[in-house]
Amino acid sequence: MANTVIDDVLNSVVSGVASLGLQAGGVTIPVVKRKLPLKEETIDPATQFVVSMAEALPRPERFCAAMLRYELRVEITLITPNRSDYVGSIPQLSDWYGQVRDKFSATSTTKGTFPVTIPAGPAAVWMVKPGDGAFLDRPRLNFAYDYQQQVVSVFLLTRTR
Amino acid sequence: MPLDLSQAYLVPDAPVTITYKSKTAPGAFSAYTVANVHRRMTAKGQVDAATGLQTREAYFHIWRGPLASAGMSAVPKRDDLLDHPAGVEWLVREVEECDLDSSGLAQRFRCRCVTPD
Repeated sequence: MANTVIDDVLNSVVSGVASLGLQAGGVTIPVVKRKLPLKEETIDPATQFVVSMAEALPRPERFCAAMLRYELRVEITLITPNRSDYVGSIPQLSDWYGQVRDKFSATSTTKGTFPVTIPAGPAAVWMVKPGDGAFLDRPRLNFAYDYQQQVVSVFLLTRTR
Repeated sequence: MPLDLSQAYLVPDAPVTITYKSKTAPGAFSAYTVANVHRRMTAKGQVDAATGLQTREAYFHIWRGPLASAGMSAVPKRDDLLDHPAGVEWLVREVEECDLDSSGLAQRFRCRCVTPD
């Protein structure tokens, strides 16, 4: 048996971020899915978005009678080399942060459209919203990388009977 | 008779000429062409445990004489950049002052450099 819900949510977030078409130096930044927010040596380009699932497993919460709510925390990470540059790129990094956040906060129950979809089954997306994140992760900045992460929470509803 | 180390940079084999970018202000660098730099082996450097990000690492030895010939009065320091002719830009991370002469001046700077590419 395979449960593809998490994988489907990750794929949907990849499509959502890719649809923004964000660019660095005139080149569209690739968006990939990984288990870890990582740049694989000689495989991945120097600058890229990585979509990964947060470490914590989703915890089911009672939503109403016969309904459970799960929160899937998806990390969207921009990894780009930093060459002793502690002043440049702040406007570009702010723009990236803002566009990703807005992409996932434009969705609410009132608007009725979700950038995150899962296939037909017993679960449905109830809400998507941006969560916390790091503008520039400091240990990674000192490690010669600009490393920005935004967490997006995808809430799923599942019938229990 | 004090030991004269000022010509020691002529000893190592395979010297390279690099472009050394000394950081003068945040985001601003002054570039110098420095000859007789010696690069030791490159290696895969530290791995960041949480993400698996890894940098490459190399040690460069830069001598005071060639630095002065290049017109650079500052000494190498953290966050300077070093352009190797092979096309790799290295970030200076740590500098050790070596070969102190009789007046206490370092004749050689051993720079640990990393590159995030």
